[in-house]
Amino acid sequence: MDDYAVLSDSELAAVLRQYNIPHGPVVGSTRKLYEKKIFEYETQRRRLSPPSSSASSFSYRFSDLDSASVDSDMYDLPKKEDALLYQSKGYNDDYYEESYLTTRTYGEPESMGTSKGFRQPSASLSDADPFHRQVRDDNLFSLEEEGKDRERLLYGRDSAYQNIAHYRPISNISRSSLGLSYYPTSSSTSSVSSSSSLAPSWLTRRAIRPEKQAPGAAGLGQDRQVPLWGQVLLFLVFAAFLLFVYYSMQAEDGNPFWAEP
Amino acid sequence: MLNPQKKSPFVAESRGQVPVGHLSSLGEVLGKKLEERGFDKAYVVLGQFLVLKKDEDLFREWLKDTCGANAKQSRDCFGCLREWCDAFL
Repeated sequence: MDDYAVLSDSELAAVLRQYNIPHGPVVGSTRKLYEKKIFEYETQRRRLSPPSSSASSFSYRFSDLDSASVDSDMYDLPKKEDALLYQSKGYNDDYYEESYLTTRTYGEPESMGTSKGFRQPSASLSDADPFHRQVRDDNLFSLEEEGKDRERLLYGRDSAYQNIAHYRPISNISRSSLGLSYYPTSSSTSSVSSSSSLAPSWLTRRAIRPEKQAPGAAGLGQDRQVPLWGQVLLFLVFAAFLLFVYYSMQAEDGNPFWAEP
Repeated sequence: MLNPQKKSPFVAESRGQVPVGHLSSLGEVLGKKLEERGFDKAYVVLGQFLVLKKDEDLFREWLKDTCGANAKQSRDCFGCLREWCDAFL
């Protein structure tokens, strides 16, 4: 962080602009804040990807981020994706699929075929199939990275990784397929930049999200199985039914007996 | 922090002589810390707010770094200053 102290105010502002960090003028009272922001940004960038590939991934990321809009949405969606995964396929499927995948080494075509066939029933992952091979491609070259990349190593050649929790790669696929960082960050700007700095291996999977949103529930573009108005309507119908039962069970004045005496 | 129905003292009176502790969302302890850093009057904090281009994330992060405000305090302070700016600037 002391490296930035040698930069002049205008140089610091240029760096901020380069990293697309929203900023104001660099004055005495704001300087320390901006130095800290640049430091955080570079730390995250270094942590998530090697410096050489990060530059090329930036421009890609930003074009894909157009559809991403607000950060809060980006944060919510991974959880929803995970929730859908939990519901739609159940735990067992994930274990099966992942153990199958991790036992195969890269480069065996039948493994991809069978793994694809195996994954057919899983709706949310079927989109991921074409990208999976590319993911494995890129993963093999990123073995030396730390942090989040550790989870991607689970796909690596080394069979010693087989017995690591099998579900996690699935959730990582879903999250990474959205191209999002799930490290908590202090500000939305740095989280935008950090998500933009994810390794290019997830680049190809980015497209899943626009596809998935299209067939989503009507009206809101959110991850609802039943649309919101449908849910409200169902609730009202149910409430009306309960009321009907309740009132019909109330005792009426008059003769409870059917037959005339 | 500020009851919206009640005319907030910050918004109502002249900013000139309001000590920073009167940014009621911050309280006395944080006000002292800000004073130590040189932000002794509310208008100086306002100045910082403006220099940060009224950006919420930047301002709240700055506030947290400078005086250790928690999320609620910084949110309230930001809201207060933004209100004022909307009304008078």
